[in-house]
Amino acid sequence: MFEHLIAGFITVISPTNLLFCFFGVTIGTIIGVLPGVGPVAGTAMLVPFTFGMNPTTAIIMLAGIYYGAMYGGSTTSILVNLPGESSSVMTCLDGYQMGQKGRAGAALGISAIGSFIAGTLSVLGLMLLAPPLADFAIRFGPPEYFALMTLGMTLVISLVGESMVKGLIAGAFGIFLGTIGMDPTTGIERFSYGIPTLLDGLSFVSVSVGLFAISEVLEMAERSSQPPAYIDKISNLLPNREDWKRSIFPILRGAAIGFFACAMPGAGATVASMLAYATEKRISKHPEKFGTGIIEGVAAPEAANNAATGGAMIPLLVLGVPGSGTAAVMMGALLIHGMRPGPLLFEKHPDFFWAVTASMYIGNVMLLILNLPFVGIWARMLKIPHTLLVPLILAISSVGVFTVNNNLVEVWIMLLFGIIGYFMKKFRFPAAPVVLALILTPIMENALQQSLQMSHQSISIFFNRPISLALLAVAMLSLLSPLVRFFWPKTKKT
Amino acid sequence: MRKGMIVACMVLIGLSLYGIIESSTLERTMQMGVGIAFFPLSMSIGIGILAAVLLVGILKGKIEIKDEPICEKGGPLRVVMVVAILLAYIILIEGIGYVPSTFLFFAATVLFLGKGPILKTLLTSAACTFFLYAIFRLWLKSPLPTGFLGI
Repeated sequence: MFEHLIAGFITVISPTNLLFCFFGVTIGTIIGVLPGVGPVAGTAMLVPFTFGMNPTTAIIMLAGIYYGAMYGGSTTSILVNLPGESSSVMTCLDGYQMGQKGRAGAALGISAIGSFIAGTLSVLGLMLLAPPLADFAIRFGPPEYFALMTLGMTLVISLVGESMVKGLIAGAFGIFLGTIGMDPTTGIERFSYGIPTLLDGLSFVSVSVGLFAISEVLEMAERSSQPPAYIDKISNLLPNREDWKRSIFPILRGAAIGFFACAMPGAGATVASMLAYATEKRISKHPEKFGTGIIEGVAAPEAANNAATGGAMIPLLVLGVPGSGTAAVMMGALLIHGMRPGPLLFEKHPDFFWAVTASMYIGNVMLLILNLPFVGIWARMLKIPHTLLVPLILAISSVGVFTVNNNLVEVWIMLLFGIIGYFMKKFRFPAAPVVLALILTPIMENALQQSLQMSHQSISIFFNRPISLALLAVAMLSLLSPLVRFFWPKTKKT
Repeated sequence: MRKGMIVACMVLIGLSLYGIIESSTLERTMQMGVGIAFFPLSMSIGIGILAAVLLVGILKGKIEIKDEPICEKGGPLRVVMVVAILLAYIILIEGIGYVPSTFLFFAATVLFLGKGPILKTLLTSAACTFFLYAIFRLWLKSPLPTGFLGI
């Protein structure tokens, strides 16, 4: 393992990879700082930038954006009580209060250091868990793959968003979209209406940029007010001895919660940070002090949302099942670069996995340096007016999507899905299951066809094989449990 | 919000009907497995059933919806205008090329959303256009649409 990791480090320390790792974490921090632009929108928007790169460099940069956004998200939560991205919501509770008491520096400091410790521990967890899991998953045949993808989708549907029914509708819509284009087995066209661009199916870049980036920008344009900028000087970033004593165990517990929660598809960084905060409050001797500006309330959720990134890499890279919107975008990017995530990735491209893992160690160090001494620069990012951000993001998205195939039809598709995504946000339909299903449907359909060919058209193949049966049983459980909650109570808020 | 959700459910039911009608023209069973209609047809039926469940729940009051406005006052106009400017940009980019259309797009959006000084807006638009040109064309070497002006 260590020789692989060393080889990974050697790959990463090439000037190009280091440069793009730095770009990734810097852009990620900016995306995290700017309220309204989340990691999933940022990652989707920047996928076209990676087309000229080799797959390793591309994923190093995209992963950097992902975990960089987690660092950046805490800055606005602490300084102006505005989460830069959804997983920093819990940091607002105590982080902002600490800022109000003149301890913004300590909150930012523990947030950056806690994020660094948790991020590093999660990469260690990824390194230790991924290879044995890949060894196990390599025995999977088409029925197990079909069952695994079904499980991944149902978990994301049941855990993302507030309503199971809306999640299911979003997932079904995504599967429907995934069937557009020429069927790979028969060559028959489905819903392409003679449009050449649609023969290869809907491009995931156009759909994800539309659903995530354009819809967010339209929401930004809708608001007339600009978020407040932070004008006070930030000082005393390094935590004192007492801060350390109170924070170290919340950081370690937050790291464990974040990593294991996100190693399962569906539970994203937001759920992980909420779990970590709730755990700290439950085990604290003074739960009433949570929300008044105590350092444990910053350390635990920040550690959890950063550890989540390492955990999220496990289902994505090892099983080929992305567990969140950002992971789905990264999977789409990998597929564009000709890399199929899954257990075979370890056999065919071990250098890729270890280089990405090593880059996460280095990226975490870069982020610590970027987020401690330069925190003032990130705080000033809030001064960028929306009037400039809106056209900038729209233009980057449009030109980026155009460069996918040098085709304006892709830009029209992006705009269409931007409008769909905007209304989905308004009516609280989650967008992540749509993109996840769009990416997984062709693979899933293929696995289903292969399984049925193996069994001479009998669906019993999914129930005769223990792994497939177990995965489908868990998928069914994950679907049924919220449905019971949906039908059981007399009223339910949406 | 409640009216909006009802309309959203109706749209979903319409989408489901469209999917069912279109999928019914495809093969449902094939010799070597399920037909190519299997996924689109089953998903269309699924969307229809789920949207109907949601609609019935809202109409019968089983699903409570907060009586809050979907967006703030003046918001829809701003969204429609931004979409209109983006539409014009996509149409123009092929005709007059990347550089002039992007400049016009920036200027129009900044002027509409910000109503700032015109000279500052034009300078900012020119800077942003060049910044994106430098990234996509000069650095990433991506081909960008060129119109009759050749830029």
